[in-house]
Amino acid sequence: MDPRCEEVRALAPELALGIVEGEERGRALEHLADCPECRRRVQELAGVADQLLLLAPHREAPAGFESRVLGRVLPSPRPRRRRRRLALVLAPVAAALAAVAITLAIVSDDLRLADQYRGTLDEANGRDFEAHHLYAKETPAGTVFTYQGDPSWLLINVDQAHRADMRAAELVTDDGRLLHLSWFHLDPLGSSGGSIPVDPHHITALRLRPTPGGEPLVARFSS
Amino acid sequence: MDPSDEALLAGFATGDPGTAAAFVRRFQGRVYGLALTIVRQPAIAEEVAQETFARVYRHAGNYDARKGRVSTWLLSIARNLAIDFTRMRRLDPVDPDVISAEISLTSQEPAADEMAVQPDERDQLRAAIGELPESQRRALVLAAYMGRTAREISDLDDVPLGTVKTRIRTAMLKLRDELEVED
Repeated sequence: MDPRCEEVRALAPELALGIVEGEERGRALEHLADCPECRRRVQELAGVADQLLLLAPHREAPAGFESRVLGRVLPSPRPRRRRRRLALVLAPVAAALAAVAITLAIVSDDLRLADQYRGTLDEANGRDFEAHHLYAKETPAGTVFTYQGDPSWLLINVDQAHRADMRAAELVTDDGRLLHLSWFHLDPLGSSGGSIPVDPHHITALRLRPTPGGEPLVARFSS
Repeated sequence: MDPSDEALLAGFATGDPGTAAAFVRRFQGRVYGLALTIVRQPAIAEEVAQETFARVYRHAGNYDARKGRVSTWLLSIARNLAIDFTRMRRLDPVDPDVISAEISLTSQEPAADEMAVQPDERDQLRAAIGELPESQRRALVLAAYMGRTAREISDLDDVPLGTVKTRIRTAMLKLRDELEVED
């Protein structure tokens, strides 16, 4: 048997449980992308892992939960912007936006925020903006912001205590690729950002590689 | 006839209020239950559950029916978020024995309008977990529900890394065999 197959099959239960991280996970995913038999074995065990979650007890959600969720995810419809005719419609649009803003402010801060969020995304052809935590083992070490749009990009902020050693950044994708971020270089405030050649929803992890002996930082992206 | 989980998900993603409400009603008990099992605090469990539905709304286009059911996709998002919240808020770690006891209770049946694995499959799995040696069950719960890596479990329980990996592997293979998945 191919030694890589042997290695990945030994790791299959942990891969299925989603507890393999960093380089080890990247290498395994890379192999899985090319090996249908290993992929089948991991998927089989992932089915077991999924079923384990279904054993968690059902609990009555708190009163009003449903309406709070719907209020959060289904913001009120708002007028569509038409840039070419902006001058002609500016006054009514402004009035409508003001009315919407006032209504939303009264009804809920969350709805207002959701509306602003969607408006901001619309402005730059974006579809999603998220934040993920960076960890050094279990210690929070910074934040990664991802933007799904055209182009997609990400911004990395590293806390002061973890900045000194970081020399490279790479993404692990859900099809097993490792993508090196050539633009990565932390500025004096611990930030670095640039465009990425992949939809952020297909990223499973971001890894910052330190100089030898340093502690790597990892952000795991929820599916 | 009730709409399928996939149909409700599609309706939820389009923002149709009626379908969205039906989707949330169908899954809220499961999602909140899993979140509470992991984070142990009702207010935080609600935050996790709300964020789960918000993520599902935003990422519904990424759902791939070939990779699993809607319910398991939803619960894996809830599980990952609950683990993230536990780490971010530095919540007290839950005793894995408590989680083991909760998932072993056979009286926790889902509501009639909820999805689930076939009841006998659930019972089979519960029985199989109950038959695992305590050390394997503990490692499995720490990994599956609390997202602990083998290295973290090794440090936590002060046992060699290789032993932890063997426990996880043996437990998972036993459960797979019990569910009669052919190798």
